Amino acid sequence: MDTPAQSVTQLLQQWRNGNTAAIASLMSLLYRELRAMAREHVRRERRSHTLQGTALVNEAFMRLVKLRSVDIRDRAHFFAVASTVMRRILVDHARARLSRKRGGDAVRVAGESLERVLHSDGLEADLPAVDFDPAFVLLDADRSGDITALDDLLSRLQTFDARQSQVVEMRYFGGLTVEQTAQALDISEATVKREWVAARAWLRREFTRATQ
Amino acid sequence: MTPDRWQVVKGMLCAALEQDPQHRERWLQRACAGDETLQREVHSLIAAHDGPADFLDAPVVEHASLALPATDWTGRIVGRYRILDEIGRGGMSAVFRAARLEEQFEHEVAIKLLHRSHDPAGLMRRFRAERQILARLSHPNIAHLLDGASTEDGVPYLIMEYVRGEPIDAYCERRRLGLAARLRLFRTLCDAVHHVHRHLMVHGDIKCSNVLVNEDGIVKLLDFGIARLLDPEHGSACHAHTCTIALTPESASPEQIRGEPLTTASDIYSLGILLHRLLTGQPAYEPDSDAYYELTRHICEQPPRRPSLALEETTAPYSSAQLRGDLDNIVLKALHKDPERRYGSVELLSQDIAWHLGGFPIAAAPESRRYRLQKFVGRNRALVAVGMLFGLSLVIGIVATSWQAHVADRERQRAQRHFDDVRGLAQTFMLDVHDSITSLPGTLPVRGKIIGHSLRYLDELARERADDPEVRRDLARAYERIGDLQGDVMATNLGNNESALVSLRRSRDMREALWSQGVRDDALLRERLLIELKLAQYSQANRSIGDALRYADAAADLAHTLTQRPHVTTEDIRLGANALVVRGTIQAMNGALDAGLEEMDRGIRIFEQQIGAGNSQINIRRGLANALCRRGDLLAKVGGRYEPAYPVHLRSFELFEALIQEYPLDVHLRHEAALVLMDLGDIAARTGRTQEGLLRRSDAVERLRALSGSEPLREELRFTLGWALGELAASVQEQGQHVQAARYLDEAQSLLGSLSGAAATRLNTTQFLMAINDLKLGKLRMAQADAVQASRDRQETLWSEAHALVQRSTQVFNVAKDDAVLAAEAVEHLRTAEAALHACNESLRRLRRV
Repeated sequence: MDTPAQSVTQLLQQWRNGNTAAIASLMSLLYRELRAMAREHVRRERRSHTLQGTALVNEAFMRLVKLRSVDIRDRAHFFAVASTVMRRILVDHARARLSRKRGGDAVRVAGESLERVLHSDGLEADLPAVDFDPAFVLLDADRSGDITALDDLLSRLQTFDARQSQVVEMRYFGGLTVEQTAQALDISEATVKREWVAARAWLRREFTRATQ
Repeated sequence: MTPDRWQVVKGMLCAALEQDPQHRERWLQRACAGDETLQREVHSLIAAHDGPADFLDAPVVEHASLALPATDWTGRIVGRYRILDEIGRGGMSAVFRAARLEEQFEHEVAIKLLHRSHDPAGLMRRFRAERQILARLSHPNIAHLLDGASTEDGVPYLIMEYVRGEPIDAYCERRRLGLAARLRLFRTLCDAVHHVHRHLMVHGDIKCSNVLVNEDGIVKLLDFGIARLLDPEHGSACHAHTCTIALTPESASPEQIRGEPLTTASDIYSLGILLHRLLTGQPAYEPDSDAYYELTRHICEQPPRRPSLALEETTAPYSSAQLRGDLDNIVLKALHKDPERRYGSVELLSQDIAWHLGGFPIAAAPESRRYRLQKFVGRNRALVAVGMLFGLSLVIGIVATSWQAHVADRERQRAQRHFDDVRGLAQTFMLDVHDSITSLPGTLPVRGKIIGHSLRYLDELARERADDPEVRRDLARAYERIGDLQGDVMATNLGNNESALVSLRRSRDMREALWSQGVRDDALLRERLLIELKLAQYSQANRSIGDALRYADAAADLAHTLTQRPHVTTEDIRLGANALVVRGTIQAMNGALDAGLEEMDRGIRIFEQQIGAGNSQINIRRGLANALCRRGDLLAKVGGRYEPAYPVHLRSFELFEALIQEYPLDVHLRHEAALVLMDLGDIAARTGRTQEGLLRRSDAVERLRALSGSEPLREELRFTLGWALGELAASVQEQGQHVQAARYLDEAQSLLGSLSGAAATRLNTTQFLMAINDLKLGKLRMAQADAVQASRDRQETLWSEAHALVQRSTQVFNVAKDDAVLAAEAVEHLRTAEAALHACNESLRRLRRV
């Protein structure tokens, strides 16, 4: 868990300079970190018993980067990566949960979704084998269906508007603000808002169609 | 859908959404220009957009929690203990209540199982290294760390004293404790933290959940020493610092968030956060969102909420008015972003709360009052202003630099820490005393109480640790500071000079005793020298000439010893030269002018040799400039030798000017230079250089005005400006410029009248200076009345005004003629004033007779 702060900032820099392998390393780093942290945080202190996802990502950021002279854009990029990782974690959890309900094989489903996320992101680097523990995520039961459906829709959206799907990923899975999303994608805040509004309309429509 | 098609749809959708909803459909129809597929597509998207909010509107990540179910440790055996139940979990650990296996009676401990990533071997190494320090830290309000080890499967753990209780904030809320009770609980916690700091350790994770209170109201600080053990970077060495990123950012200090090493100041910050919580039940910061970086940004950049504003009055057992003022200031001082500007120690924080509880003024006043600590330099010229020649700034320079040398002395960190406390305390005296002077006249009893209280504290400290020479050194330093305080010429009444001497003598005796008991380090030698120098000058100010000479001789002897050691430092050489200058000054003032001047010249030569040898340190050059200025003063004012004094003063001034070029931001330098310029102007005028004299004095006044304008809160600058304006008025009046002279004097009086001393009930230098200016104004009116060819009425008005002004000044002079310091000058002024009164009466009688 003691990842030198420097390596994270270096990876972020490499990513900015177009090195796509860097993002994969970053993701696996963050993924391991989040998992390790989740294990530690079974219950948080004496009062709040669970750790909110946003707080977890923020703490991961603190632990990995330690806020030492972090460029504001590095920070945004970090949270962008975290959004992808969170998406994967949450979707895998939701699928595992649904398949368990149906009596299926959680691990197999999880593996599939992982594959899909990898391909849809165009990442070719190997990610570390992760053993999924369904209890890793505590999510409202009725959200699981929404999340898997959303994930499918997002993958579709990705095929004809990659940027829009990224905006949704960051806003919805990463909890990024409009400002942070704009910084991470290097576009204006107005564009982020427009993309978000259009994507949400499309997702809502498709979601309704799928569930009807 | 193809990407291109989607771009068209999206563009149309966004444009449609910008339209007025009422006209949207019509607009869309027109815009799609017959492309019905497009229109349908966009239409359905608009409908979705307008539809009810759904799960998409809140990021899922805010609802998802990531965690694992707890491993059930209950009943397991760890070392010689059986785990009974879990009592808490933190970011990196879980804590269990456990009982010792082999013991009959129930001996409960808390076992903290640490995360595996904590490298058990390293942890144990650090634990063994620190065990002794930890064992020494026995304190009734600290839960002790008893042991450390790792389980068979490699999970490291720590065994601690088990505390049954609830977090301090929950305790206060549940019992709905009143304000005083909360503050008392907090002070108990402060004692515990102070104890930790005294052993050169830092807690590093002070927060409500680490401070438990049991049913009997006993406070226990938990997790002491853990932050340090868990820190692989700093834990191994005997370091006062540790560096861990807090997993509870709410209580993290800005430096902690920046990843800087933790210090005692970080603990003081965390105590501030905890106090804020205890007083208000609310967090100190209220970021716009829950986002972590928002919170950290607030901690690093935004001011915390004032407790009085954060309190929710409807539910609290006390009102926000009770928090406003003192308690706000105490919390904000503890929470200062700059660690340097927080309380110097936990003890001071606790002391301030005690003072608040007791109804005394506190140290955490608004920041501007800090300036008062630096007012000593001003005192120097306050003395000149009342006709004395001493440069206490010489001494102050020595104090400041020997203190810095002290700071650099790393081997004496422990002493340093004690010194910090006592020094902080001494500073607090000063702040407090000045507070009471500025706010209220007649607060001497309060000041006396505070000084008395603090001295009692120090005496107790000395009794408790009678064998500890460090404490006695601190005590000696504290007495020295108190002496400084009592002798503060500008702010206090002059009668206190005597009590200042008593305090200084006490400090001196303590140092002598330490010396004779074999504590013979260089620092003590320097401190002995300093105190002799101060005593010499205070005695001279009190006209105790015999004492002054004796102390000056003792200082010269000590200076000789200091400079004859094998490894003499530049600082020692400077001290030695200063001792000669001071002794020379005292000799010169007491009838041995030439011998005194010779002695001073020896000091001056030492400074010159240093500079000739290439030493360009500011303190050396400043020392020379000050010595020359004093030499010039003695030549002129004691010897009446104005012509020889002129080049000496000129050189002093040039030295100051060169220093200002190099150190343009040094206010003291500028202040000193302006004062030398005033003297130079005086001497120029007296040696026939009338025009130059006037120009120099105007220049000096302009400089002082600019200085005082840029630092409006510094009273000593206004004081000097008030004095200088009075002097300048005299110069221009000699040129016949009555109107201009009156203008200067009016300005001077309004400046001086705004000083705290003006309103004080007992005589002080501000009042004395105002009386001198009143006398000058009176004589000015007399001159105007003589010159005026105007009506009899006008003449009568001027004579009456003159009479009133002079009359007022005589009241002050009559009191001052019984003051040891001011007597000689007062008598002289009184003679002038009485003559003037006589003239006024005569003229008025003549006018009324006609």
